[in-house]
Amino acid sequence: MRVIQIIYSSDESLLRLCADDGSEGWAPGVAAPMAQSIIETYGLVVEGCSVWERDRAWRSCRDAGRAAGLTPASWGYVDIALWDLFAKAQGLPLFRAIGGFRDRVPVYRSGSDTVECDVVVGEALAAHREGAFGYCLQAVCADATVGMLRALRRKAGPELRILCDGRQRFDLEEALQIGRALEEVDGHWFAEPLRDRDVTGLQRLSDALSVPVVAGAFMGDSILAGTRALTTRAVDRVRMVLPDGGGITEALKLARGAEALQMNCEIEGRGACGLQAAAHVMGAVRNAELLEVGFTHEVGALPALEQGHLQLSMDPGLGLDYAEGSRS
Amino acid sequence: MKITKATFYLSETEPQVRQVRYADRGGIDKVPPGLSGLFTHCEGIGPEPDLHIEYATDGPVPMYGLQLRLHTDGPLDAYADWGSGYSASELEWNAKLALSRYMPMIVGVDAFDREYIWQRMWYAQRFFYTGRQPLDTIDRMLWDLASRHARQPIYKLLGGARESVPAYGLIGGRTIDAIVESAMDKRAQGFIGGKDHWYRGVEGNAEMARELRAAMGDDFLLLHDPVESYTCEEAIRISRILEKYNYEWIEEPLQDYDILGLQTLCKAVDLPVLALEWIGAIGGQPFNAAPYVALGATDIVRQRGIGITGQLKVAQMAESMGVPVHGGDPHVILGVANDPLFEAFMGLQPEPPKEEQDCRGQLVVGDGVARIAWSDRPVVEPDWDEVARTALMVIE
Repeated sequence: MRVIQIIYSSDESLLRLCADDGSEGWAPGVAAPMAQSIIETYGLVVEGCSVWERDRAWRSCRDAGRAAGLTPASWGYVDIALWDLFAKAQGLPLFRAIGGFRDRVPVYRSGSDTVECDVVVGEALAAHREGAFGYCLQAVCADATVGMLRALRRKAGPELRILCDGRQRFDLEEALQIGRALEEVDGHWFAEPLRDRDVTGLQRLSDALSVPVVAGAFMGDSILAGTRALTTRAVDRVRMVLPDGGGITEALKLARGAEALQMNCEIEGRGACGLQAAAHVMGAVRNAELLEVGFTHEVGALPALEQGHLQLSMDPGLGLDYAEGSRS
Repeated sequence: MKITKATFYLSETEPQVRQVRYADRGGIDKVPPGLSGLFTHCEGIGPEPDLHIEYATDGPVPMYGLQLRLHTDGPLDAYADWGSGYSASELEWNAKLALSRYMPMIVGVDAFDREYIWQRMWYAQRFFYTGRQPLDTIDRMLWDLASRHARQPIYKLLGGARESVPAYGLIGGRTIDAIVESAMDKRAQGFIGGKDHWYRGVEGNAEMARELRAAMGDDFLLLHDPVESYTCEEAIRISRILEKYNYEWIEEPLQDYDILGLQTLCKAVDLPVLALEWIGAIGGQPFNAAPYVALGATDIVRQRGIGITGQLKVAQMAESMGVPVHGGDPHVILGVANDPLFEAFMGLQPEPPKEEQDCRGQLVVGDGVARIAWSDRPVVEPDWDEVARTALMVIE
């Protein structure tokens, strides 16, 4: 079973790996300029590849992508589509084609980018009501974040996990300020507090805080840099963002590296493609605790949470459904 | 495809003469010249031991085999040999132990939820104080099921990184001439290199390395495995000598427990250091291997993961930390890209006739490479009614 063509359906922003038996592997939510780069750079690399030689295809794409100066997301989309095709070829949901660990994954809700305390508290209470395992405050500025964290704990009660994502906006001093506030409110983790490449700062922050520091998705080579951040304890948990850090292949290798070090690799997905892929990777690994799902995530037909979990699709592959007629 | 039930079939197999002999393994004595205080295996050192200890039955005695079948609600079941021995009663109770201890963790679980089963049984090892066999066997059974389901060999499910991998053979003998002749034989068989297991201390092994390189020329890979017979100081000395003779690596130079010694050695020499065979065999990979890599206490990880899943974890851990692995199941070796050489301890393996090949695949070693010969033909499944009919006992 070989890939014969990569094509792009602009109506659905869908990247399609077409196999010689008529089946297809999909990566949704791919912007048109990215799709064009993918087809130009990886078309000849992937065409003719066996669906059973994913690792070889991933390596070839990664090398071609680096040579062309493309981001890991570009080969990440191709890799995700190839995994989708691989699982479909076996008639298995993707997480079971990898080797299943769970068929539903625990979720936290990520909040809006705002300094409006009422908005944040409202979101957190909504997350709590629907049974999500936590709420992630998007830290915009340090002083406001400290106040909002206290308000969150006061209003949401002791049970809701409070997480904070710095989106790499802060310097060490500000990150310490937020980190201490997270300690005060029994925060669950502090994600991307500093620039990912500030490994020294991350190490100092991780040493100083009892709240776990989660970072590493944008350190460069996501696998080697991620495990290095773990072994040096620059981070307490490494983060992998699909497809920004690469594909499912990268996510699995990094997760296994982290597992061997007895540490977590928190899997996150951006966009429809990334979220679906991240959910399936979490379905196949032990050492990822919570999946981030935004209130306004671009998730397509994402079902509602069940007791705080996202139920994985039992349909073959990623479980995506696109009407035949709508593709062009 | 849910696992619905477990059944053991206890059967009589081909009778065999039962025997144990001193000569099978030899003895344990000081590493020459006897100054380091370390002990090693006598095999290969000096003359044949003049010690003849042997026990044997008068003739063939009954042998028994135990086969495990995991029934599923799908079209395929998982199955494998669970054990064998000379006592039917022991095997019967072995089966009952497994049914009462391990099967409750497996029955009711989807057969493709391999990671869940691997993790559950991994943690069970600690509480049940079991060795690696139950997890190893069950994980392999589930991968075999996946292979038959997809009609692809396991290495293709793992990613199919390569179709073949260069192979080297094992070389040995009691004299320099004998080991050189052994290396010549391996080269004549097509192997790209040879690995010794010599334990003669720095001086003796340096002489061997010099003579081997002189005899074999520069285009034959040489690898040295002294099996923990050096002190750290000696390992540094011999490694420098082996570098001069362009050796590929030094394997298990110190006890695996000597983390600081291995770290010192890795820092001191350019020759890659391969370790973790013994500590890995006891169990614990990939978890006990990762800190060695992180500390720079090994350059290459000896593959000893439990089951296919465990071996994939070891290989991916190593890849994520930028080092190669060596050894393990041929399917894992071909499935990943960071296991550069195949150790052909089994010697040449001919390709089976096309009509005997199926999707499970069989190891082929020849022409200097190892590969899997396979076809998309389905595996001929056991006739379970016949297995039950001929079994001495069906245990459920």
